Formats: sequence, C-alpha cells, structure tokens
Amino acid sequence: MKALVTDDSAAMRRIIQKALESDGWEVRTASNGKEAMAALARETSWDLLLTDWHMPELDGLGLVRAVRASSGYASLRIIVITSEGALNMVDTALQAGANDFLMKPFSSDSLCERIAEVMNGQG
Amino acid sequence: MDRDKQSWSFVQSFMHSRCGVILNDDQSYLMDARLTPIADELEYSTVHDYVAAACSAGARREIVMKMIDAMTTHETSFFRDAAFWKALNELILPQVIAQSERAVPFRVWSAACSTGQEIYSLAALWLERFPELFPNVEFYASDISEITMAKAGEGRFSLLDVNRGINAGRLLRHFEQDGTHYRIKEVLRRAVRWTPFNLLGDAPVPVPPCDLVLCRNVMIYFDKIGRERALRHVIDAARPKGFVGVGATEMLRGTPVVASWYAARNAG
Repeated sequence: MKALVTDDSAAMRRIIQKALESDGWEVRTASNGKEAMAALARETSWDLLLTDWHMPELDGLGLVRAVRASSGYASLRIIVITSEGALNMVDTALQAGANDFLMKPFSSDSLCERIAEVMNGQG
Repeated sequence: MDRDKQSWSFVQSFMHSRCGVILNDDQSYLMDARLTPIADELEYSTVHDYVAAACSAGARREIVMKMIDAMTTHETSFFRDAAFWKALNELILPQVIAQSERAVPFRVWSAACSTGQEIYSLAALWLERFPELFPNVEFYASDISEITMAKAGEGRFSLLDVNRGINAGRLLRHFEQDGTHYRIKEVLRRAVRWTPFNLLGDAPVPVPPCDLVLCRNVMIYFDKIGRERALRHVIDAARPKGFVGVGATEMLRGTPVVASWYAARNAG
C-alpha cells in the first residue's frame, strides 16, 4: 500500500511518515500541493493521500479538488490533516472530495484508526 | 505507619467498599496527583485532612463525590473497539429489531457511561441505521460518578475526544461547533436519560428491562465479588431476549454470540 504525505512542515511529514511506515505503508512525501500533483503523476498505484490544508503553491483544498478533477485517481483515498477545527472547513473538505478529515494534534492511534476506516470504505 | 501510607490505606478501603475499585499500594502517587488539587479547591490544610473527611462516616456528599470522581477511571472514546461496533451494527441490532414486539419501546443501557461517548455512539448509530425507529428508543446511561455523568449530559467534547472514533461524516452529522469544542446535537442529547448508579450497591437497577445492556471495561477494575455483583445487576437489567455487551478482554460464563456480545439468558 502506497501513501503520499503532503505537508509544508518537515517535522509533520516525518511524524506521519513514521506512523504509516510502522503500519507497513510505503510512503512518499511532498511539501506542497504542486509537488504532490507531480509526485502522483510520476508514479502509479497510489492508495492514500494525506494532506495538510495551508501550504504554499497549492494548498490542501486545491490539491483535493485537482486530484478529484483528474482521471486515474478515482480509488485514491484522501484524508485532510490540519490544525483547522472549524466544522465548516470539514464540510468544505468533504464537498471537495476528501474522504475524511483529521485535526491536529492527533495521536498515532487516531491516525492509524482513521486510515483503517477510510481504507475499509467507511470514510 | 506514616501519614501518607495511612491516608492511602483509607483511600484504598473507601474506594473498594464504595466502588469496588482495587487500588494498589504502588498507585499511592495518585493521592497527590488527583486528591491534592481537590483538597486545595476545598481549602483543606492538607490532602490528609481531606482524605480523613471524605472517608469518614457521614461525610458531606460533595466531598465524597469529588473523591469518587477523581479516583475512578473515566477512560472511554467514541466507537471504542471497532469489532464491537461492527458486531452491534451488523448482527446484534438487526436481531434486536427483528425479535421485538413493535408496541414496546426499545431500551438500551450504558451501565458505566463515564463521559458519555459510548451512549452517544449508540444513539448516533441507531439514528444512522434505523432513523424511523429512533423516536421509539429509550437510551439510559448510568455512572457511579455524578460529576462525570453531568459532564456527559452536556455532550461537550474536545478536539482530542472527537479525533478518537468520529470520522468527518459523523462529526458533521452529529455535532455542532461550540467554540473550540464540539457539542453533540440536541436530538441525541435529549434522547439520553441519565441516572446515577453504583454497580456494586444494593439498590435495584434504575432502568426498565433493556434490549441491550453495555457494561464494558469496568468489571476489570473489580475483585471477584465485585464482578459477580455487577454482573448480577447487568443480567437483571436485560430482557430475556436481550443482549449484554462487555469489553474486549472481558468474558462472561456463557458462550458469546459474537466477540464481546452475549445473549442475556447465557450471560450469567
């Protein structure tokens, strides 16, 4: 299973990457939405995209919309991970095509449980 | 015996006799961590004075309740243990509904509800799954700590609380923004009836016969006698065709219908 972690914080990328790899995921990272789109195009067989919201170049919302507008990513699950906690932003993310939304701070247990739910089609 | 040891032994005896909770000698750090703040709040000179007051016969209810609330475990989360909720959703709930007499309301009881995540999870699931039946369900919730139960009744949860077990869809469907917190929507809050209850006490169960009785991850804190007493209350609360749900590491005498779920008639 392959995941792309997109966040402009190197520390957050490392934290999420470590949690995913300990759960058996193959992980790539990107520091903004533009890099993420390039990474998605470079490789195939993506299963999961985890993205921050506020990023330079192309933010998380823009990335979600761009992915959903592209062909070839219909089965790609997307989780937005952000410090934003307003319910209207959760709604916006889901309307844009995200499968789920996790708020920072989060425990690695919460992250892994949420990923499992999304991958099982419950998100 | 020094004063710390003496006070801790009072706390151990009190919690065991009142709540069935076993506190070990090596947990005495909890006295400072949890009871000293209460002693300060209530303006006792020392935590020892507070413990002596709370553990004495005829102690004021307020100081007793604060000790019980501080020394009982409130660990819980929404939809805790995915396998349990999957079994409830796919097997137990459909069976309860299929075997019911439609004239009688459905009744469910969360017997150790803590801060309410379990009963709200159940109410949310029922509303999602069988919305047309929701008005016909009575949700009961009890806890030994009235302070904790009062918080549960407010239905107000932090970001960390909802991060555990509530996906985005459920967050939008069942919660409303409350500043930096999230509040369970009124339709679910109003559906729950809160009743204090001590699973180890002599009082009869405070609920009518229930289709589902949940008593999860609390009997593990009791000794053998305490577990027997709690289980007796749980069985008494269940309808003959009802079901009892327990924690993932807990087992009752009979054979489970599915992991963590027992038919009431086989549970004791």
